[in-house]
Amino acid sequence: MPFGVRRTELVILGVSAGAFLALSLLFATAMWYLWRESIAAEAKVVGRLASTLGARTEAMILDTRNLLETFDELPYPRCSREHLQALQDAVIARPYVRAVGYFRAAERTCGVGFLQARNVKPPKADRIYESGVVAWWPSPHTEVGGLQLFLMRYGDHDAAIDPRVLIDLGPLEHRQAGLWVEKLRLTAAPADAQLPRPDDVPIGVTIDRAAGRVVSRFSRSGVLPIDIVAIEPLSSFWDRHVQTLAAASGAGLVLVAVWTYGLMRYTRRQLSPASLLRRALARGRIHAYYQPTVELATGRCAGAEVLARWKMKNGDVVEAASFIPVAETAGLLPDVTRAVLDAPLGELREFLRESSGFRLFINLSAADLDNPRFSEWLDRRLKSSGVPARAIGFEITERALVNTDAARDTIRTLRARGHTIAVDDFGTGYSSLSYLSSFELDVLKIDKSFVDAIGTESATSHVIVHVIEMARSLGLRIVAEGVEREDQARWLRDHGVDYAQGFLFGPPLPSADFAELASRRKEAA
Amino acid sequence: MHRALWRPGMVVATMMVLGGCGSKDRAVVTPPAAAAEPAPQPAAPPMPEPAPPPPPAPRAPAVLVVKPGEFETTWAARRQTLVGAGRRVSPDEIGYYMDVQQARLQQIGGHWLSVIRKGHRVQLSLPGRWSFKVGSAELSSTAQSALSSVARVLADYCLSLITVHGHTDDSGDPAFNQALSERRALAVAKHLVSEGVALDRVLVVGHGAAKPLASNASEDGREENRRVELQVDPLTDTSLVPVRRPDLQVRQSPVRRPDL
Repeated sequence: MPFGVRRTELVILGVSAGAFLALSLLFATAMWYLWRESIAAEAKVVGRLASTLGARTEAMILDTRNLLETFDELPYPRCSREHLQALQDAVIARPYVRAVGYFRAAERTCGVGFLQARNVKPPKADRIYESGVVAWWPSPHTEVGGLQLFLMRYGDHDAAIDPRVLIDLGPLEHRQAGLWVEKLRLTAAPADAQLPRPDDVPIGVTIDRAAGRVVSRFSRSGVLPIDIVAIEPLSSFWDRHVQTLAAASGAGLVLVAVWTYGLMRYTRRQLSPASLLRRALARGRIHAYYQPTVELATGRCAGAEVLARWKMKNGDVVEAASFIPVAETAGLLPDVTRAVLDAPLGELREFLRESSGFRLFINLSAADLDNPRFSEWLDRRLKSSGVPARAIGFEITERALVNTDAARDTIRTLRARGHTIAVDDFGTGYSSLSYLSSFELDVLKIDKSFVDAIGTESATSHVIVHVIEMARSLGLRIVAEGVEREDQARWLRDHGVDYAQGFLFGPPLPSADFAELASRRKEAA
Repeated sequence: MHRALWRPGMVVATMMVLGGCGSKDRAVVTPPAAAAEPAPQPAAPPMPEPAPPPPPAPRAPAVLVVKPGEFETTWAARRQTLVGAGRRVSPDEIGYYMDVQQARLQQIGGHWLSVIRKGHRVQLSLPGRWSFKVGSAELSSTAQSALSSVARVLADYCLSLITVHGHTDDSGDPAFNQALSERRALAVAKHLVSEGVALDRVLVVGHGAAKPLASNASEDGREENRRVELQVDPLTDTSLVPVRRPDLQVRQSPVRRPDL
């Protein structure tokens, strides 16, 4: 295609790249969103875990504190059987209380539970509350049998609490978690977990890429401030969410590919010559140009061949030879014919009505001939414009004639109405003389290649003589095409050719220029 | 002779440290003359006896009132005497001993008594306004009942030396203020002793207006300066444990802290 091929490719490339970019951006946004969702999901899980842990811890602390208060109010003599029984009952009822002791001043006098043998006296209390509650957070000083206890004393009793029971491992999955009360570490799971302090971690879920882990912190401020810090290796976090992410990215990539491919296909079709031609037809960009046909004897302008021209948006004019093959393969030839027929009936109407003996030749394709509705349409158009049928002739290529009964009928009909039928490009096909004679024809147009050969020694130069003789024998008038030199015109005139067209007489012209040339030639005659 | 008389007393005291000291306090309160005859008290009852201790004697044992200038040396000497008599807290238990004692004082003190911790020392402060009438050394009934509770705790935690400091504002005659501060501190000390705190654990010192907490220029400041302070120091061998532990928390924080 001579027209806009490179531009078309560039447009397709540009559109595809743009679409790919836009979709990739969309895809990236979606991935980012999913990633955020994964983090939000993590925050939800750990948040729920933290709120359970926090509530449980607070309940445990308050319960212990109240328990100690009730112990001081027991009506039994201290260290009596009833007293110890009451303590025992309370310890057994609570999974986290390991022991309860009764003290006189700083000395444990009696008690129940598992810590009978040893007096635990940490050198420094972590908290002494206004109310008189003393609390010792788990430390080596509160360790008994390898277990660091949380101790609480109020009044004359103390309780030893096993903080491990606060965090159950089940819901943690791959996480490690720690529990801080009043910013003091109460417990962790596993016990030796290396966890950052709550104050070193922002609240919520944080991706700590440097350390390759996901750090979550949730804080709760009830009676006492409670912090929960959970860490998880980035790899296991990734493992948990990778399925969603992978599925989403797979779907996303497929979507991008399909979309890009579809858009490319669509764009290619939109920018294909056929589509462009279809659009040009719809928008009236196919124009008629007129190339004069001159009577060789007189030099009078006896008619013209109507040629289709595509005036592109950028001002370029594309010749019929360039787009007729496209129209042919796309089945658009009838539309081109129609456009080319419509044009003169509009712009040259007056001229055609007034000039008798003037004849416009319009090229018909095999598709036109096969279409039975063509002649009806033509008839209607001629009647509405008032142009007589004899003013319009049709050129049919030798190849289009090699055809069917329908074509034969159309030709007969047209001829019956008064249209002149010419056989175009004669000599380029393989039709024999007898075959040609089976059609009802009026004019034979000699192809430019024969005219070019005039005055040369080539083999073709002799053929034209025979063509002329043959046309005469069939009673056909002859039009020579592509006459460019005066000597060719002379030769043709001398050999009895009636009409000629070519650059010698005038190129294909727009209607206005042609009308002017035709009237000048008339005068010349 | 004198030494020999004391020996059984020391044995008794040592046993008390091991088994709680409610009764031992009373035993020590017993004047040396009386201590010679009854060595019968070792089988201590589990609870402190509410019974008032010594029978009135012609030379009734009195709480030692110390002049401010002699306070440091007297305090150190008394402390050494008690520690030397085996009444001491094991060095690695001091922290626990004072922690739980402080908690107990806070528990009973309520809002009336402010409890401050400085190292191993627990300091109680009685505001003058609620404790005494103006210019008088007579304890109000509120103060008496509050001090009775304090006395019970101090009697339970018997391994400490208690110093009662009297303070006044600077209005009026300095000599009168000095005397008033002394009499007020003494009134507090006597009440403690009457509620079972061993006599030899208590020292009294009056400072007059010499150690104001706040400026005496305002009524609020004077109000704050009129007070009686009780310093409770654990009895321990100072060569082993420094009296002050800098890392220990100081209570009385201005920010409101969570409470249980």
